Amino acid sequence: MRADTLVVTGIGVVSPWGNDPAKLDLRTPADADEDWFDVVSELGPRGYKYVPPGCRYLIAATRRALRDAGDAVTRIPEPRRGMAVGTENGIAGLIDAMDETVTTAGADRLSPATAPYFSVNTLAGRVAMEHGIKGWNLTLTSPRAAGLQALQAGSRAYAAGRCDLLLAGSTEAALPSHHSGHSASDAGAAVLVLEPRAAAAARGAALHGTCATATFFLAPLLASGTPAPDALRTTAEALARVTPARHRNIHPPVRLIAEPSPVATRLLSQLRTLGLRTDFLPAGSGTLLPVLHIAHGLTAPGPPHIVATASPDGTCALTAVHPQPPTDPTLETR
Amino acid sequence: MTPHHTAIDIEELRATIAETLELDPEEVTDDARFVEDLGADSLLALEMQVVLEEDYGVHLTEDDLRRTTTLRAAHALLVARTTQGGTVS
Repeated sequence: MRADTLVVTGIGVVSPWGNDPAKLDLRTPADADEDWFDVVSELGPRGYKYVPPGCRYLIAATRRALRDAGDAVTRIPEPRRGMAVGTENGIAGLIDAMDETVTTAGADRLSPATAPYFSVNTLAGRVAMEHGIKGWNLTLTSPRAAGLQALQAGSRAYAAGRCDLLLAGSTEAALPSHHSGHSASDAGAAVLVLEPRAAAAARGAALHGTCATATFFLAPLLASGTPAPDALRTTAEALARVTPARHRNIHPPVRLIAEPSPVATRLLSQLRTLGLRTDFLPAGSGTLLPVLHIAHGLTAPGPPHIVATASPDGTCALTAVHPQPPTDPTLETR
Repeated sequence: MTPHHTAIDIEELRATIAETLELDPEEVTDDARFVEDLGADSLLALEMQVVLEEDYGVHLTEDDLRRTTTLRAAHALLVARTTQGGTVS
């Protein structure tokens, strides 16, 4: 297993809050409807008519991230490039529309040009084709947590030697308008470019920082029940995995971004019990918002902090974000 | 456009095909070849088949699709199908 640290050298965001990761005001509500995204200016005048919003956003965010990363991708052979993407609702609207067509006009009236996107991994597959990402490509779909899981899975794949350049992030399309969660659902995409510290230094890349992710499970049945010491230990162990030993007395602040649920309430309580100052930011459906917080956090020099999330079914994830200090040319190693 | 046209307006057809292929109508000249000249791929050809079937209330076969290489050919095919139910060679 490789032990060297991945550093973030590129950040790309398209979102209702704007496309500059440094200026995202994520604590204010944003409209999930598609008016905020200009297909022509982001992607071009042609070639995207049949590409669903969740894929358009991912294409745009990836292009932005790779521009931010300079020549990172062109230095790496295509079979050594990897990508991990989380999405919960990236094709929900498309699947709804296809269901409607099948049950009314019939399957013969499905749009052939749109049909390939019924498979959720086609979103990242389309991006892989554009940028020659031929090493591996993984789509994760756990509710709320899949964006952070993509960071973790991608880092593991790098550590296992499966790639030398990693793109990881999340894309979401708003839930269909008839869905009660439509207006609060995530929309947009965020992509990070990660590469080994030595490779970034060798090419003189500007560094944004590092991030480390741990995932774990809190059983929903225990979420509102009796105290479960083992569950607290699980959360503590996850924190230890993302926090270097010498930083454990720092007690980095935590932003817990989750749909209100017994699991989220339990995780919030546990993090506070463990001595961490934790803000709870209620969110709608989707995997993007935690990744947007990471992207934003990496753009501002400051102390380490943790972005956390939990799904109502018990999947939890923590990402420790270490923004690059403005005057320190090297990142802290762990 | 409403389904089941009794006459095929070539300008309407030009606009439909242009929209399907993400082109400006003036690019879809009568004899521009969809694949070679206009960059359509097999998926877009299938998309055009579905759109034309829906808009003109006809059934098109794979052979029809292979022969329908230009706007002029598509127009001739649709005229034949909607007026006689026949085929064009």
